[in-house]
Amino acid sequence: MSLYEQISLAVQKGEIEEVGSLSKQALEEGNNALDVLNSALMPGIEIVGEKFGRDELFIPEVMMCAQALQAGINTINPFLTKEQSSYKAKIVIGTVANDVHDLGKNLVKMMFTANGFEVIDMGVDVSAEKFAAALEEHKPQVLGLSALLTTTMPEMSKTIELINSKGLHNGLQIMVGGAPVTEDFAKEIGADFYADNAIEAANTVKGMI
Amino acid sequence: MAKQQAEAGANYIDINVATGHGDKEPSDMEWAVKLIEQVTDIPLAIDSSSQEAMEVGLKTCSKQTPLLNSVSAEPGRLKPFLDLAEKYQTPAVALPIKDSGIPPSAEERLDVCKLITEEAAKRNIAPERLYFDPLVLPLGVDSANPSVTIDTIRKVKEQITGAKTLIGLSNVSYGLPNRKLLNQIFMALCIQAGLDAALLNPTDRSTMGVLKATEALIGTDQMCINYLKAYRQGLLKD
Repeated sequence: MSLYEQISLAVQKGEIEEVGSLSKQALEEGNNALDVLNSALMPGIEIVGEKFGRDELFIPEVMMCAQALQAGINTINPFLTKEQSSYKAKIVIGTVANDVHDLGKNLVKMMFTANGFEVIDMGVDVSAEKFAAALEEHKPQVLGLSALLTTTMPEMSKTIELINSKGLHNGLQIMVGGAPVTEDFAKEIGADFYADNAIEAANTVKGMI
Repeated sequence: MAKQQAEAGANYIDINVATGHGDKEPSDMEWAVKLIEQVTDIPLAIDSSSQEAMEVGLKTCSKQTPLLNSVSAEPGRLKPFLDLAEKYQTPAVALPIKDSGIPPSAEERLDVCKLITEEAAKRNIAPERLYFDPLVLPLGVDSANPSVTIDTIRKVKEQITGAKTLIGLSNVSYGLPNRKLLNQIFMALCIQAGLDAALLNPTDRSTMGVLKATEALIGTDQMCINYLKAYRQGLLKD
């Protein structure tokens, strides 16, 4: 088995230390950092995402794999040039104002991370103004809004309105989700897409990029 | 469905009609309460995070005293909802959630439960009328989650005299295979810690069996009377 295959397999098995040490070995053997990322680490985590979608891997295992990926990325990051960002896309994510539920949002964040996206987590009870400020600061390709309460779903609409009025929606895809949120609701408030669960969220973003 | 659940031994039927279009929730709630009261005499649990829908639901119940589901220490969720429990003289489900979210430790959750108990006392709502839901987060996300729930149940029962405890069962097994196995054993562990009530599907005979068997095994079902009664009613299944 090639070293790249070993790295990919270690990511799939969630072996955190091994991914770190094998990635280091790959660099020492003269491999290019970007190549290690794209041909070893990412193929590994993509298989993890597929297996999760088929119920062959479960949440605790995916969390281990995401940590293993992170160990690999931490190892190679210092050797990547600025242009070769290790992430495929940048995503800002958070739970809307007056809503303090973060479980679903954290699962979505985990799936994004596991699929090689950079995630900026704003936490819970995030106001429309804070989301808008984060968009200006981080310039992400995707914004993810979460709400678990029917009473806080209108905050999603408010946030999108503010983003539109500030002209920040240009080049930005907004996704919404959370237990009471539906596809129809997403359309109604002007979100670009809706995801029913964490895996669907990650797949949708993968499809866009 | 309400009829089936009543026949299977449910003590309350929970009504939640939220869709996110807040304006329709109160009228939908009124419709649902009236409809379900036509087919059963069992008390209803009015389940809403909207103050308006909650009040309409409580007001509409004409047969039995409903259960308010739920009050928490989140913004806008504590005082107005306790006011409704006082006004309609109902018991209430109480969640230890505060502004900053769900506290990670059992100690902090207990503190929020105590805070709710104090606010309730100001309205002459005794701890006996409060059902504390210690909150169940998925085992798959953090191995400590079920233990925090069990510890919270134990602490609430020890330190808030008279208070009841209640859990929603299925969250614990989220994201893991063979969920029923985990749900049932978790329920048994919670009952041992002092759990008083659970949200579950009463037409599921194997889970009802675990409930009755656990109560018999820990000695709260004296002389196995309820266990045997359930057996004769055909409610038990291995």
